[in-house]
Amino acid sequence: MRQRIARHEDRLAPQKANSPGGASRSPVPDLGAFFSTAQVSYGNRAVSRLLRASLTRTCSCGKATGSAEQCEECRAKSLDPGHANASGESRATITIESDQDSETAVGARDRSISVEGGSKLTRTADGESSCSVTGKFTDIPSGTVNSTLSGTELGARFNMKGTFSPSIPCNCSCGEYRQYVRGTFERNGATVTHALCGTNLDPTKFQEDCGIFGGTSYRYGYRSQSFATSKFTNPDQATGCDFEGRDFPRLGGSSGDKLEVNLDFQGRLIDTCHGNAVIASSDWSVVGTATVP
Amino acid sequence: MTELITIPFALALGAESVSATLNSDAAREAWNVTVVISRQPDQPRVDASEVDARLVDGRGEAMAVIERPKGALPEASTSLSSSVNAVFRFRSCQSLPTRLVVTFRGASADFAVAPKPQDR
Repeated sequence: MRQRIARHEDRLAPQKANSPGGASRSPVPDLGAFFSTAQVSYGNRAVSRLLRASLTRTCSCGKATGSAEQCEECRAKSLDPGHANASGESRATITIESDQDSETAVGARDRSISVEGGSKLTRTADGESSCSVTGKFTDIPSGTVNSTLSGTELGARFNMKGTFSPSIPCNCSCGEYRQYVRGTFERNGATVTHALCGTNLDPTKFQEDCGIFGGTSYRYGYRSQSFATSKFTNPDQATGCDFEGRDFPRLGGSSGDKLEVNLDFQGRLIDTCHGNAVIASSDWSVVGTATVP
Repeated sequence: MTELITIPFALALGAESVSATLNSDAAREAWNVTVVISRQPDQPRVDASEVDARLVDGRGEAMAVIERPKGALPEASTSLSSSVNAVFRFRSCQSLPTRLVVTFRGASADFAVAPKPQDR
C-alpha cells in the first residue's frame, strides 16, 4: 500500500554578511541535488522502492514568508533595511512516498542534512534598499467630513488606518504614513492661528501636519515616533504592518462665538525605502460652521 | 505694509511652546500681535489673564497696549497639538518694534523682531 514514509526538513542556515552592494548567492540545493542526497540518506532501506518524491522550498525572513519560486528573490533582496546583520532562513521540505512499512519511516525521519544557504541583506547601487512595501488604507476619510459642535468646540474626528505588505523577505519597516494639511480656523470672521512645526497653518499651501510643544515635535506616521494617536502594530513600531492614527481637528470658542473650520487634508502611505514613493492616498476636507450657544 | 517676524519662530516655555505673528494695522496705526501658545491637546482652557505680551521698539521703550484679550482664549487643535491664541494690539510709533516678550503663567519668552526677509 502506498503511504507517506518520510518527511525530511532541511533548514538552511542564515548566511554571513555579504559584500556591500552585491546580492548574496549562497548555494541553494536544486531539486536534483537535494533529491540525490535524500536518496543516499534513505537509500539503504527506503528509496529502493521509492514511488514518488517531491521537494518544496519556502523562504522566511522576519515576518514574511514566500513560496518556493521566491527563494531566489529572497537572496537578492534585503531582509531588513538599515540593519546589516539582518538574517533569515530558507526551508526545503522533501516528501518521499513509498510502499515501505512504517518502521522504515521512523528510521528515516531521524536523519538530517545540513546545507549552507539562506538570505542576506543587500542594497542596490543607488543606496536604496531592495525591500519595498505595498499598502492600502483600511480606514481613511475621503470627500467632505462635516464638523459638528460639541460643547464649545466645532470639529470632526476621523481615523487614519492602513496596512502594508512587504516584499519577500522583508518586513514592513519601509511603510510609513504622512499627513498634510492646509486651510483655516476662524472665530467671528478672524483667523485663529494654528502653529505647525516652524510655521503656521497656511490657507492655500499644503504643509505636513505637525505639532510642537515643550521642545518636541509630533507628526503622524513615523516609525521613529509612537504616541497615542500615531502608532504601528502587528507586530511593533519598528516593523509593524498596521498603522493606526486618529485626528480630531477642532476650534474652541466661547458663548456667542461664530466658529468656522475649513481644512483640507492629504493622507499618504509611502515607501520610505524608495524615495517616499506614494503607494496609497486619500484626500478629504473638514468643514463646518456653528455658533456657540 | 510692513510684516514682521519673530526670531526664533518659536520658543519652548516649560511644557508649551510660544510663537507670535505681527502685522501692521496702518488704519489704526497699530501693531497686531497674535501670541500662539502651542501645547498638548485636551488641556483646560487658558484664560486671557494668564498671558501677557510686551512689544519693545528700537529705542528700548515698550509700546502702549491698545487692546488685550479677555476671557477664555480661542484654541485651534488637532490630535497633535493645540494652539491658544491671544491677540494684542499695540500703538505704532516711529520706530519699528525690535523685541517681543511673551509671558505665560509666569514664565517669559524673549523674541527678537525683524522685517520678513522679502521686506528687508
